[in-house]
This record gives sequence, C-alpha cells and structure tokens, in this order.
Amino acid sequence: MFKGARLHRVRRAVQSAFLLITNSYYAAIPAASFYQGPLKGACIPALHCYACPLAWGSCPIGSLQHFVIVRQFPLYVLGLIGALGIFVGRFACGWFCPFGWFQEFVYKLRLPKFSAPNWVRHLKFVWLGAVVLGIAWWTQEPWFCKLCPAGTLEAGLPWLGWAARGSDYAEGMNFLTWLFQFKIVLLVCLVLLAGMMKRPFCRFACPLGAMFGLTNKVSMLRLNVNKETCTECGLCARTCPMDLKPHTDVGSIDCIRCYACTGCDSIKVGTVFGKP
Amino acid sequence: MKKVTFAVFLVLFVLFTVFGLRSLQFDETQSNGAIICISCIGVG
Repeated sequence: MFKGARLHRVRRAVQSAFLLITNSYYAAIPAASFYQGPLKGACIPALHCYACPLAWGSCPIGSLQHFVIVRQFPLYVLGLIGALGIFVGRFACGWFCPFGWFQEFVYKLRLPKFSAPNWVRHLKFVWLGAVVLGIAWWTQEPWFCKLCPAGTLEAGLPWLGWAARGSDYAEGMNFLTWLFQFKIVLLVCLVLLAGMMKRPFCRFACPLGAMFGLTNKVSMLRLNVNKETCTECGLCARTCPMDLKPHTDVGSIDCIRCYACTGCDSIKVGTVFGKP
Repeated sequence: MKKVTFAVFLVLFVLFTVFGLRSLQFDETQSNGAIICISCIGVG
C-alpha cells in the first residue's frame, strides 16, 4: 500500500516555514527598504535571492560568484554546501528551497504535462561551469544572478513595487533596461514550463542543485530499494517531483530527498552505516 | 569504502567551512561573504 500524504504535508509545512523565516525582515515593508546587516553574509542553503527586500541571508550561488569575481577560492561557500550535502544530499532542494516550492505549486495548474529527455538534466552543470564560474570570472559580473528567474521573482518584482512606492533605495533603478525585460521573459517562460513539467529549473538549470546533487553519491542519508518486494508498479515514479523512477534511480543526483517515494514499503531511508 | 568516503568528505568540507569563515572580513563597505548588490538583479 502506498502511503505518503502525511510526509507530504510535513514537507509543505517545512518549505513554507523556511520561506517565511528566511524572508522575515518585515521592517522592509513599511519602509520600502531592505536588510543590510551582518547576517547577509550567512549563506542560506537554497536559491534564496539576497536582493529580496525581506531576505536577511545570502544565496550560495551569488556568494560563489562574488568569490570568483574577487579572485578568492570560495572555501566558505563550498564548505557550507558540502557540509550540509555530505549529511543529507540534495535534501535542501526538496525541503528548503522556495523556488522549488514555487515550481511544485505551479505544476498543479491544469496545463498539458510533458516529460523531457534525460540528457537535458546535464545542462545544469553547463550553467554551473560556464555561467556561474566562467562568465563571472571573465566579466567580473555575477551574470547568473542577473538572469536568475528566482532572483526576478523574489527580488526583481518586489523592487519594482518598491520603486512604484517611491522608495529612496530604488532611486536610479531603471526597469526599462533590456536586461530586466529579458529577465521577465525568462521568468514567464519558466513559469509556463513549470506548469507543464515537474520542477524544470531544478532539473535542467539550477547550479546549486547541481552542486548538492553531487553529494547524493556520498551522503550519509540515502535511499534503499528492496528489489525483492518491489513490483515495479511505477507508483513511486508518479509521486516523484523530479520525474525520476525511484525504484531504479535511487542514487540519482537529481533526487531531492523529498522521501515521497518512501510511501512505498519497498523504499526506505537508510544511512551509509547500514540499514537503520 | 562508502563510510571512508563519507568521512573524508566530511572532514574536507568542515575544514573548508572553518578556514573559509576565518578568512572572511566583514566590514560596512564590503562583505567578503556576500555583496549587497541590487544591481545584481539587473536594474542597476
């Protein structure tokens, strides 16, 4: 019997709580300002734009690009991502990331549904290497941040609102630039895709997901499939928010450790130290 | 072997974090950990 509704509700609650807690600088709302304190140096392990007016922490990808631009090895960022990932793999994507939560929400829209070919998953490593690292190094500008749809949603649009309110902090901002308009188009395209495919940004483009996904292979927590009891009915695949087949892709770098598939008795959470 | 791999990476990432934090310099004008850069969102 497949069961997992309770875990799904718990995950939704954790995602919502994480979104509210990490974007809790509510003093920014009446003042049309943004948080500028020392906590901005703390990387939040999710695609969480530090330009969001309510955000008090920074995005690991933005911080990574910063270190690339100032020509310093990003020890701190890699250490944080690795230290979390080595315990729980890509768990942050499934339980913390607000942009992943947003895409799962949009997928509920009544739009035609499609799958994508498997090779497209590797594109996120191209974005990580070429855009986050390569182009940032070459141009000394955080070009992934400039294009990131999570940034457009969490920061670009709120700042448009702040500018409409006449915020002093938005003085000089030009929302008619080709770049901002291009970002809006990218976000609209991503929203449409998210309505038709499961978590397209997470699967095909997210550089943070790419980094966390690599830790899936060596993480302490892992999923175990009991091949003797698995009937390959495909129910786990239908519940998987990343369009994986958990009974065969159990160690996939795309697994976001949402544990929806553990609703089946044949799939259980284990550790590198053996079965619990 | 998997336990050894896990342990090696754990030590490595903890060392990264510790030494990374020690090398950060926070000041009012430029934070090495994060830059408060509104222009990063493409409106600067």
